[in-house]
Amino acid sequence: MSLYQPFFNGKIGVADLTTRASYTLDLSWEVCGAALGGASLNARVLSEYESDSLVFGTGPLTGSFAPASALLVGTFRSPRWDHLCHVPLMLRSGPELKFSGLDCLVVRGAAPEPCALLVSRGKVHVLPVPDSADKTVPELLQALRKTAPGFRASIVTGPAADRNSPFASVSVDGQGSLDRAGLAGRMGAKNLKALLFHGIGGLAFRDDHPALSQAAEKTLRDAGTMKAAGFVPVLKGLADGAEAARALRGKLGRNRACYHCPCPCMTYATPGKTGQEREGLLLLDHAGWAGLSRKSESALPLLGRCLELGLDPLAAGQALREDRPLKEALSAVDALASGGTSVVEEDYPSAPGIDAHDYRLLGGGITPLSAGRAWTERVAAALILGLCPVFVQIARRLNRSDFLRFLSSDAGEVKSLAVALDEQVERLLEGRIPESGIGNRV
Amino acid sequence: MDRIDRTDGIDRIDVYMEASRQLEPQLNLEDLRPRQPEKKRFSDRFMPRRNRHILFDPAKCTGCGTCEMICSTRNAAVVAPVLASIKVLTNERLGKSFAILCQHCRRPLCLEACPTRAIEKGDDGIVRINDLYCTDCGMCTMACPEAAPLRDPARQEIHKCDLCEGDPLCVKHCPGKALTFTRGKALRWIKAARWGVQALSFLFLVILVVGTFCYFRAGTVELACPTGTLQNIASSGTLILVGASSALALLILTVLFGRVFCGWLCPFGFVLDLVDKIVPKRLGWPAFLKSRMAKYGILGGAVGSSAVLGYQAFCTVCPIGTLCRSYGVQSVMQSAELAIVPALAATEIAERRSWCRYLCPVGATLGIASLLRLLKIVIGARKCKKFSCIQCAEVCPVGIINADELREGISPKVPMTECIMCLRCVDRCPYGAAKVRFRWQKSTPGEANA
Repeated sequence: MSLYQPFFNGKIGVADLTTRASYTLDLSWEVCGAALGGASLNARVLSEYESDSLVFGTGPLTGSFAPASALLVGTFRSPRWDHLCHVPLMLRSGPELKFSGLDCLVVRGAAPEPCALLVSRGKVHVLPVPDSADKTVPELLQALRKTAPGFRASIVTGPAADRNSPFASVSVDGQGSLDRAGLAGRMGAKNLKALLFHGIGGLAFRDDHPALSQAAEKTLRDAGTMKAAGFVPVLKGLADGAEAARALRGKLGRNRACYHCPCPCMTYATPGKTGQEREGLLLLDHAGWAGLSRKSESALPLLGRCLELGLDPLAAGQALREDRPLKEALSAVDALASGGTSVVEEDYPSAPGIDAHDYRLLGGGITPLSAGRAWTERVAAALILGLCPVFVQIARRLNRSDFLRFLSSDAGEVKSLAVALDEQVERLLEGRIPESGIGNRV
Repeated sequence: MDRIDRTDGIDRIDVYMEASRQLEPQLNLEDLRPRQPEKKRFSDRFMPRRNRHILFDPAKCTGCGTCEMICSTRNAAVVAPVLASIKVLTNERLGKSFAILCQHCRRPLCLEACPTRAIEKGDDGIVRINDLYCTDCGMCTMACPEAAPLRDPARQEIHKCDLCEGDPLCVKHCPGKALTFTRGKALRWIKAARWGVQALSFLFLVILVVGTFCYFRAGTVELACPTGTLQNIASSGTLILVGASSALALLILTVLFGRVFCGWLCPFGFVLDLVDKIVPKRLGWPAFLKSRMAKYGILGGAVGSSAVLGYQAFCTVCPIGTLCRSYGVQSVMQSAELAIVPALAATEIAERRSWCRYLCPVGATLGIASLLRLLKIVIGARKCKKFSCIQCAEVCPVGIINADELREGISPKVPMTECIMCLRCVDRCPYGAAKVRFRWQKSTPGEANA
């Protein structure tokens, strides 16, 4: 039996939007052994298909008892940067794909009409979504709840993707994402409005997994990591985070975590005072908020508008250039979502101290809490294993073997897994694709 | 060792369903050891402790779903949040969480609704579903105000929380400590204090001193029943300032603390509470008499009839007065008056404190005085969070807490002219959601951290 078998369903779903056909492939364990999973496996799978295809994949630890095992990776050739990009998608999307019975989803072709993909019970269904053009993200989610009631996680695009804005960004469960590589644009070009996951299956676990999870949690608690939970402490870890955090004073509510994450890095914010019964939004994108709040004092309503339009808040911040009255700023954001923009690629900031190519390769939006090669390697490893890349930066006390122990209880195997992981990280960053066939069509 | 091993070529969903059907819970040495019975405390003889249950604090919940994960591993031997017996729902627009989990109610509606009697409540307070008899009809889910018995979408079976037989895993694994396994925040001492004060008051007003409630004089201090004083003024046609001022004591007490006399001091109220302990079944108060305004009508009638008849008409049949005058060591044994107390105490068989709710003119007088009260009772539905709990509504002797509003998550407004300030709700609430506040304080428990 393969080491990875308990952690994968062994299925790849393929949806051809042009013909509206879908089928599943058996995922060969050789590929899992060669690529480990996540971004690395996605790159391998994508190499088998057309260059405009999209691949959404999970890592071996996604959905498991490993802390912050929430990751789904979207891999595609970025239209903005013209190279392969791996966009991390968090909250519950990764585990829900796995619980739906698939490890990986390939989207090929382009649909003539707007459509959505529903993954349920190991199958992919192509659903028409008529009259969805120009619907805001909340409106689209409401319409999708009528079309496919009961889905448990979603990845949707907004009007910005419909209007071919280069700064469109996908929204996970309507809360935004760390997509700055143009995943939403690629989905928009395919007329793919949404991915819906209805995970009612389950995954195996080892008897010691709950104890390992608690041990990891205790390590973080003892180190004081769990005390600094929430959006603001993570935001303050950014170079200009302290100033951005000041704009949120008195507007913060409850913290929110992704699937099985002990250190929440997201927080709900309300435009009014804390505790008032008013609609708010989830602060998820640290760098995006820092960029937006730097340019406008009324950044919260602007962020809300960005989330409605499915637009990158960092780009909105760049488009504003200077603080303007709210009404004018909202118009500027709307114009940016419509494709008209004065933002040029050179204006678009990268993370300080991190190689621009590596940063963009890993989605271009992951909160940079450290710098240099260490950041790149740690984040790349998280994207391969299926762990939240923000969490692995926060939880510095946990090293690779703490996570790899969830894959094997044997110390020798953990060592060889660490070597394999290092190799895959190297390959991923160099753009080399793991060799081996991916499986047979069933 | 892996719980299940995947076989090539078999669908994952089939594997986990097969596994969860076949796998029995594994016994270990810990299970075989005899369990130590929980040590009973001395105070348990008088105030038995409540069974422990899971409390959910939405302010601490981050929505990570760890509780669902760990619960499913026990339910189905796989990580599958949909198979968990606890479900955390999040309103993403408002950023609020709500947990659906069994509260192991004192009187479980699911138990009554189950057609096959598959649901049972054990001596340990845990409500369990007996799989042998369960037909998965879903009646329990419909009957439960929280819909806590959940249906597994894959196998269509009903499952519910059994508190992991007294050691819930979700509580142990919750990283944010949003779940706690506790007996609640009930104060418990108010009940004992109230019974003590009621007994002392009864001893003083009824047993030791004759007629103390109607009129009491010690030196220059004079105290009188306010309703009796009103009748006195009406019957005599003159305002006797000394008598009126002696009636003020009770009215001032009411203005300061609400109708505490009714809840803590009234000797007839004490009798009613004692009778309440032995009433086996309530018959219900007749619908045509079910008006709380009736007591104000009786008060008006008492004052009016006193004016017409020229004597305090109601005082002759007042149960508080007759109790103080006709019972006790130095009582004036009047045969006719002796019958009034048991006759009116028998109204307890209709509804709890039905005399106080609908008929008592003394309560009506104090109710009018309590319009100027300084204190109020507030119940924060958001703090209590559990719509099926409604223990405050259940224990309220005058039935003024709206259980339907609580079930809808609305903080009920407690009408303080009717409230007898017995503080049973404050004492009983396991979530600390019922509080005594000043009338000008606007916050409700739970609003600040909702």
